[in-house]
Amino acid sequence: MTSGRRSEPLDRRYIERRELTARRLLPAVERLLESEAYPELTVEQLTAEAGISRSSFYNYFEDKGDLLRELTGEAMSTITDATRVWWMLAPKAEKDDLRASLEHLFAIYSPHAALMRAVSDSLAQDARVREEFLDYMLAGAAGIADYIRAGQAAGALSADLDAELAAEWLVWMFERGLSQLSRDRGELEPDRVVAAATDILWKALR
Amino acid sequence: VVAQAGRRDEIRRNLLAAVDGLIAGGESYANVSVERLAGAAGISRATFYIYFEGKGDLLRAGLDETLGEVRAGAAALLASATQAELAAGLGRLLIDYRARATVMAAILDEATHDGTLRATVDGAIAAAIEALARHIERGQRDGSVDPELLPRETAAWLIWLLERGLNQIIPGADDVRIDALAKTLARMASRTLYAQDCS
Repeated sequence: MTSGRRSEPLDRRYIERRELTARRLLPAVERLLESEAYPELTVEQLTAEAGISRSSFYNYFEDKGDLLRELTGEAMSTITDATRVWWMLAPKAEKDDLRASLEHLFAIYSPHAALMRAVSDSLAQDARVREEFLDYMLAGAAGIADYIRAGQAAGALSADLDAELAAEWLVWMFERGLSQLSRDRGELEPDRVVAAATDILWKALR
Repeated sequence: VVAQAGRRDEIRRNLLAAVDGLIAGGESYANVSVERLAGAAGISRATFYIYFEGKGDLLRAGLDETLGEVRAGAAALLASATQAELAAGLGRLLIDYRARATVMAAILDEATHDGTLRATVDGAIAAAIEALARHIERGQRDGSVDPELLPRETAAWLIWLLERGLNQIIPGADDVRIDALAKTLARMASRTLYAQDCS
């Protein structure tokens, strides 16, 4: 049978259209999340806000959880890439380099904050979102642990610190800290939030 | 009245233990009926409603209990004079919290769609950030804390680290791992707050 060959480009086009539809829905999702919690959002609201039909929504997504999974993967890989600027810093990098890498992370993260809070809210109910999310957290902890070990090997960071355990605490500090402290509620200024994270990383690991 | 308060405490403890057992058995709190919950705690549905308005009310009582315990543990942390004392206090806090982790997971899950619970959780975190920020400011005045640290922002990051760690890292951790996690965190927190030689 040639069905495998024939369906391949079709599948690719379908996957591409699914991604494009998700991307079109993203700003609508993020606008709605400003005023409403994720569990309360309905597909009707999402499609009305994005100006697409219900039928094209259901053509690509089983439900809003399915859409959230698509958006989560995209947002989390973008955020993980941004985090790499910090992890890949040279072991002897200056404090200003560390600050700049965290500024970059914060700037990339902020537009996704509402979405990431929705992800957090749905972890208990959606096993597939949870699994994907925890994979990214594990990868994050591994990246931070590598960063600490490289610093220890170069003599820049304290050798008596357990890199794995420190990384576990820190990955959760960034996960929740970013999603909560990047909230635009005028309580804390982004520059100061980044400066504090820089101080913590600079001092805690030395 | 005293006897009644004691009875309520006992019933609350039994009910929370039942919640723990049911969730550990793979059920979700949202799907458990008051009937089952009461039965698992050895009381009738009618007795449940004498003491609690509903399942949400029970979780609020469980949350208050946990928050009281965490507050007491946290106050001891801020009073620690040495890194070893801080590690010991953190270790106790983590162990105590682990016993409540299953119920707390149900509470935090419920809080995503229960405004009252959410407000209580948010309020507790805001209060914790405030308390740590004041601790930093006091230390900066008496010279024990790095004067360069931004009190509120630093406190916010550290409280979120602790909150997420408690709910994500601690639930499955054994005593040995908890001890190591507490020592690592105590060391990082001590360096962050009290070291002044490396900025």
